[in-house]
Amino acid sequence: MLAKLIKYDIKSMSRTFIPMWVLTPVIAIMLSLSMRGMVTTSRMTPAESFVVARNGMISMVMGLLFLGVIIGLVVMTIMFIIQRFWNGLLKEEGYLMFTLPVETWELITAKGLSATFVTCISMADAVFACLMLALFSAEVVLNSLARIWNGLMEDLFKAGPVFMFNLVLLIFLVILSVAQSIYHVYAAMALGQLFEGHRVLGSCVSYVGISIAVSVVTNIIASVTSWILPNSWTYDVWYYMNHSAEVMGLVYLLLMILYTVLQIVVYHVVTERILSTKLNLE
Amino acid sequence: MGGPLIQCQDVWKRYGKKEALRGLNLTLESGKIVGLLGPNGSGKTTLIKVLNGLLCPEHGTVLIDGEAPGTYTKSIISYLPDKPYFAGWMKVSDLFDFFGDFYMDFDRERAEQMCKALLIDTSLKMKTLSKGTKEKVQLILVMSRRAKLYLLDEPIAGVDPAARDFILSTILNNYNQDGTVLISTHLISDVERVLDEVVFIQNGQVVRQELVDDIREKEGKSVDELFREVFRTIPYGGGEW
Amino acid sequence: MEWKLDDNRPIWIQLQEQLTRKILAGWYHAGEKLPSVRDLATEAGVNPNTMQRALAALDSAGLTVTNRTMGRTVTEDQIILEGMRASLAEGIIEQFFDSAAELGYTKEQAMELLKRRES
Repeated sequence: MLAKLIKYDIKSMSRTFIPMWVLTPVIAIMLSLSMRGMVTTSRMTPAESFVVARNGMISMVMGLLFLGVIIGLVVMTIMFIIQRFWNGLLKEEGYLMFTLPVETWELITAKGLSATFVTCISMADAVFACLMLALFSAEVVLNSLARIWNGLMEDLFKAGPVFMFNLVLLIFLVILSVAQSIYHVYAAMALGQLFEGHRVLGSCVSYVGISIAVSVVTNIIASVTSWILPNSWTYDVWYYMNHSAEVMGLVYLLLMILYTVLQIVVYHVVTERILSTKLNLE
Repeated sequence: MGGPLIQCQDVWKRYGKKEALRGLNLTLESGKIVGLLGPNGSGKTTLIKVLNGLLCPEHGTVLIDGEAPGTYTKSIISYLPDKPYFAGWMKVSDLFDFFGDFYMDFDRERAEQMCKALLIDTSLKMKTLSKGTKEKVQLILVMSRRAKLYLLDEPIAGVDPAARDFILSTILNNYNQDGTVLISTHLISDVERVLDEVVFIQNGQVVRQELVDDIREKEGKSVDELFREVFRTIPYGGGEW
Repeated sequence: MEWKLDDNRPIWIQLQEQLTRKILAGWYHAGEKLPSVRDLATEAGVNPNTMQRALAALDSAGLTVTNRTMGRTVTEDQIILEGMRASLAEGIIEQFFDSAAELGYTKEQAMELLKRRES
């Protein structure tokens, strides 16, 4: 049943997202081509300083476009995910979903997984669009990109297996963080349902409330950890870690992954409990 | 499962300060068409939502075919709410796929035949259909399931007489006769011929439960008349008409 | 086919009466198979259990015969049909005399009215 739910969630989301995913790189290419046009004309002027100034301005404009693309995709993705959960479970469509012979946790997990999947694709799409933006534009930008890329490749070849593993963990952590943000929103919307008559306001307040609670807890944990670790042990660990940045990275990444998973679990349980027992569709 | 299809004992449901169900008791057997009758605000819709698992009672037991509301009971209940509940982006045929995917008892052929008979194009998206057609599609989907319990919440309210006849004959023609149909309504005279049994609900409690034939034979009244008697309100200022 | 039903009296009894009249009037011929319970119920706009009860009553009265292979058919027994026809006619005549009495006519006077009308 879970697989079927995911199928339908992705189906309903792809109608909006596929056009967006296709259009964004296309628009990026078109923008960069038009920028290129401007650069070529600017290269026609002889004065060097003039050219440098022009190139500087181009880079800045490119930077702004770069930002605009990312923001556009991010905003649309967030709005859509919220709307799918709100309308799909907490409004009329909820009458359909909550009377299906499925458990509440399956409904939530299906929405969470499909939203995470879609967001990750959106993020990859944004990066891709920015590359397109850079690729077709001024040689200046292209050169700096090429340099960065070569540098990265060199570092990668020098790196050991731990580094590669860390990279994998990093990507995993990014995906988990996406899921965690999404579940944070879901939990806030579920809590908002408890505020009869002011559900939207309740959701916003809950969202902020959860954020505050999480940062307080994180700070407490961080302070407590640094306080209780005995000094000699810290010294040994620090010595070892200093000799291997990768190991330090590994430990840090594992801890972060654990912490993120913990948050996801807590959000899921809160959401599931509220929707199972306190549901009251209008 | 031998016993009664629905068993509610001492069910309480509150919304904030308001008590919608107050110690409600109800037992219903299979194979009947039952009317859930009561004035607005008596708790009809709340009871239906408790039965299909949309609401969780604060107190009391609810058993459907011997089980508490959950995945099993949802699989044997076919529910028609009083408002449309389908995502507009889905086509009618998509909805058939959806129902077929989640409900083992969905009779797709029957649903398609009914749409054909009503000249409803199943390749159209729900949001393009008129309100009346949307309601018909919803009814078709619900009645095409071979369910053990059909919960119909105000199926004929706000509907013209011709559509009303259509709805009632669709229900009669398609329901699973081994199952039970529970119709909640406040429009008694239009449905009473279709009912085996009636349950009168007032202020969150069942005040009377009778076989319709008993009402007619022993009291010589129509269900509509009995309803008026049971729920007669004293006009403000007192006195008769 | 019109079904005129009154909600104050048990529906199954009314259905039985109307089906009886339909059979005697020739809507369903002797030996003809009746539509299914469900179809009749939907046509009349009533609960199938109610219609079933009415049909069972027809079986009891001998007007219909239920056979495993043939379903429910109108009886071919003319004696039963004539008997039913006669007893219903009896009822109509009773009613005529009762109504006439309400208007103040004696039985003989009522019969005079009939003779005069038919001559």
